[in-house]
Amino acid sequence: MTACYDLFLDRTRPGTWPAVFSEKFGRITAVDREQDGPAMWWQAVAEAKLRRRHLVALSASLAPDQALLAGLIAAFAIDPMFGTAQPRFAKAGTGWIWPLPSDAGPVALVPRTGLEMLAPLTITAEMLAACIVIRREVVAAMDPLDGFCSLGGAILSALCIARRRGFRNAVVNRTVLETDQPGTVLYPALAAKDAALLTLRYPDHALAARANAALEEAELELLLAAAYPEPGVPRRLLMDCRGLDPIHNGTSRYLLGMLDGFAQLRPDWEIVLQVAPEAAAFHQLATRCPSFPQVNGDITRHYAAAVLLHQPWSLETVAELHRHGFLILFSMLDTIGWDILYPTPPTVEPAWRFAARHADVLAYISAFSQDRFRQRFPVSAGVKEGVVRLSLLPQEYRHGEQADLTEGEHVLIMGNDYDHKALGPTAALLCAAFPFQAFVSLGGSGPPAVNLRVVPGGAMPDAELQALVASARAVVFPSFIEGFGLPVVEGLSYGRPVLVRQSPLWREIAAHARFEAPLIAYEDEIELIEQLDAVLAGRAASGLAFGGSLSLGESAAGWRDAAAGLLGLLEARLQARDIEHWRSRSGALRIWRGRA
Amino acid sequence: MDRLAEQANEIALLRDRAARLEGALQAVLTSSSWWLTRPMRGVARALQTPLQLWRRPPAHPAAPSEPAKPAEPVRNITFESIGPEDAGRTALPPDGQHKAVWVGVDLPYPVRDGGGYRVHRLLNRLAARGWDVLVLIFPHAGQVPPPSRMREAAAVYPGLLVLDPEGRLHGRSPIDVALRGLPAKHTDLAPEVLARVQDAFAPEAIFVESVLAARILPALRPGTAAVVDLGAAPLGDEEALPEADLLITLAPAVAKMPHRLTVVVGADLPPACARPGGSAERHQLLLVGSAHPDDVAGVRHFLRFAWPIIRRAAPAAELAIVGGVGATIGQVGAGGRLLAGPPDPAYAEAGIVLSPAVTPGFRLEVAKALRHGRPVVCWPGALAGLPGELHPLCHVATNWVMFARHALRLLEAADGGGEAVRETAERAFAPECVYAELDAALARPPFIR
Repeated sequence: MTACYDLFLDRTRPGTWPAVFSEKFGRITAVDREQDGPAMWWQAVAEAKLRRRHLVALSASLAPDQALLAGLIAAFAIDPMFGTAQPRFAKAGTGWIWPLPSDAGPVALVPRTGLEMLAPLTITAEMLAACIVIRREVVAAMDPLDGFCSLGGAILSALCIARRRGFRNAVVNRTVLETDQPGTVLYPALAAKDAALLTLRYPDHALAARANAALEEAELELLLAAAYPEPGVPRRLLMDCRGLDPIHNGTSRYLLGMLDGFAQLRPDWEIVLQVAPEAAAFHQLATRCPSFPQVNGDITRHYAAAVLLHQPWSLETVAELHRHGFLILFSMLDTIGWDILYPTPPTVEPAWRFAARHADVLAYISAFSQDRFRQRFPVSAGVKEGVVRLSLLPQEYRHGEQADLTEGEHVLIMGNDYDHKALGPTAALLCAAFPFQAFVSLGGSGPPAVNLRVVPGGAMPDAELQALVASARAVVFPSFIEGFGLPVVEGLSYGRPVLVRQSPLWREIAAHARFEAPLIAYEDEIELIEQLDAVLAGRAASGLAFGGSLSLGESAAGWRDAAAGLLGLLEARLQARDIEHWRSRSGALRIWRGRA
Repeated sequence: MDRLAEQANEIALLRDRAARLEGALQAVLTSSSWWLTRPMRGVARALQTPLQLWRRPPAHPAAPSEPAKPAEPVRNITFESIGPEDAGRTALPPDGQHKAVWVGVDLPYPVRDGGGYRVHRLLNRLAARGWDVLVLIFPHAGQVPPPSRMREAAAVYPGLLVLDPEGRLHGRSPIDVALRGLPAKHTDLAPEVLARVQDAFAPEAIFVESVLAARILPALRPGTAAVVDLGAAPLGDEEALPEADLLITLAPAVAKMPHRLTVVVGADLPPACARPGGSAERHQLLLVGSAHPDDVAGVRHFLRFAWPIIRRAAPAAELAIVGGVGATIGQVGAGGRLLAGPPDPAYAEAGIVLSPAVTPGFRLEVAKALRHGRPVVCWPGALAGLPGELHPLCHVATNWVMFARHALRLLEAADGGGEAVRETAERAFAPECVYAELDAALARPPFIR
């Protein structure tokens, strides 16, 4: 190969310089510690300019071979405005790549497998590195700049000017230079005095620095490091449990059930719980799932996947999970918040629309919820979808002491004060239709009636709530729309007849479950009171058919299956080794941030 | 001959029943607890004011008719004459052998609902048994009868006084002169008026509705017998009725309370109530309700819950709604209609009679339906005050689905009761049966001195 470049060797740093270079490749200018680095640099520039050569600036005892330098120079042929090119640096003897400098968080080495998923080139603004090839056209236009006390200052100021003239830096990702040098040497920081001088002369250099620090590829590299770790290193999964409050409610039952499922599953993932300490203590998470580390506050590390076990309520949440998880998974519980509108912040609409287009995985807790979501938010082809139902195993809902309770006197009506739950009107209806029957309204308010006891759900200890369910003569769940209907499953699990308003959801639940108590769907209030009358009188009530979607002898799925279902979706997604979806999401979030 | 034999049997039945009641009454009157507590009741009445000082307040929430708060100013009573009586009414006979005062919160007459009917019939019975009854009404605020209604009542009750919450005494009574210009001493005017009534009228017995008992009983003069009408209410805190000599109730369960002279008093049904003739339309349901809120609620709930079930299963069924409830119901919907005018003629044409009110009380429509030989669907509370032998003739529901099912079953039944029901009801609603226990109790001291 005919040499087409000169070499500038920075020997001011400690280390042994390999004797691999000779003049036959081009003129070599070396600067030692006692020499004036900037002066020597401009001298090398002048020589290269004279000889119309590219100029290779090397430091830190690096030993790139001809082929590597040729690979970098080849980048210039791709784009005439690539003014500089630099390789990736690998830790000698390993497959680990030093990540590009960024403000994306703690430095983590990137596996070469991850690097291979990146684009061949990453285009940046001026960026100091231990190995840079400067295009000869750029060299030709360089004029000495005085005032910089360090070699780095002299080089970076020249690159800054080149960028101002339209020349960008190309990081050649497939060209890897192995070295023992640390990241601080490979991507050196500019001396403070020179940095100040450079910014003073060219304030736009701050823009360049910011652009480099926020480099999308840099973010991606850290995430790839988490997503595709070296063999033997477990993937990390962030379970965002910040929605877990220190109370017993439907959300807590769902989240705890899923955590139980993951704990039973013992996956070869490292599961980290992002959870408020109060909630963790209240629900005894340390005892419940001792192998899952707990973190709180800002998310700092990078994960193969960030999982939110409910819908995102704002794009901020999406963006945060995107920054820290290569994959992001949302568990879509239902579309009720969007449908009913009145209690829902306006941030939900863009967040769900975004999730439908850019999430890696959307897991729905029922096919019914999936259908509702897809009707409202077109899901892009790049999103992996799956129905992961919650546990339908009775034994996973029955609490020990309450399981043996005998039938009491009351009929339990469950819900809350949202209109779609229809709790208050149903309580009023039933109290009037059955004036001699005792009712308990759980979860909201109720009309004044002598045969009604109103119990606000969140305020009651869990054992008492369970006892109310377990001892009910029947459970009425009058909600117009649900994503899954945990109270229904709880009631059935305790062997109590459950009456629900007709919905395709209940046929789905029944088809995937086997319960002994009947699940009775009613169409209107007349059918409700007729069915309840039949239940209370001990007459056979016509319930939905159970187990239609289960094969003979197959039991219903439990929490462990639900956890496995979620992990399965994530692992299938990882196997696709697709970063274009991530890029698309990242780009969209960058646009959103820019607008915000 | 058959008829004569039936009547003879009936008389024997009544005699037997009266004898049994007499025995039961004697057992109570001769029981040691009753007589042992009698002097204590007298002492309590004599010491009524001091006792009230240390008596703890009743456990029940204050009724709307509770005495006015002390902060309210002392008022003077003014007297307003009710005016000339409406001729043509059948008035209670005045100048009986004994004197009694009936104290209530509402005019029993003109009859507006079953409760009023029962009281009105009770007053008739007292008059028929030689009691000269003064009717004294203390209406709740906002429920003062209009002058026209007071005039109608005055046409029937020779002695009538209505004290409205503003302190105006509307009256037509033999003692009204004694009450005119009455200076009030208390913020609660009712006991003051009652004291003057006792001074002027000298009744041997005071009958008082239980809701007023706590206000009225402490104001009784020593020697005046006290009768508290519990109606259909369960017996609550006994301290509210410490001085009662007799409790009358609609609920047989209350009558079984120990150490308390309690008799069941429903209401009789004069023969004129049953209008013969008319052919029953089996598919016709008659829903009878007054303007009382319980009736209104019952009718509304029937239309919402039961009528759709009936209509779906029996499209030919027709519903007629009659009574004061019609004014507030408005639209009835398909298959139903509101009938204007008094309800009585409708019983003869109805196939089934429905009693909609859930709350317990004397249900005139139930009594009249049975008297017409019509099957009845009702709530458990409608059995209150109904003679026990009629209970099996009522189809009692405990929810509206059952209510509808009872109606449907009766619609399908070939025979809803008919003549057998009518005859049983005729016997059971005879005054001799209905008031047997009361008559026996009032024929004894302290009512007869």
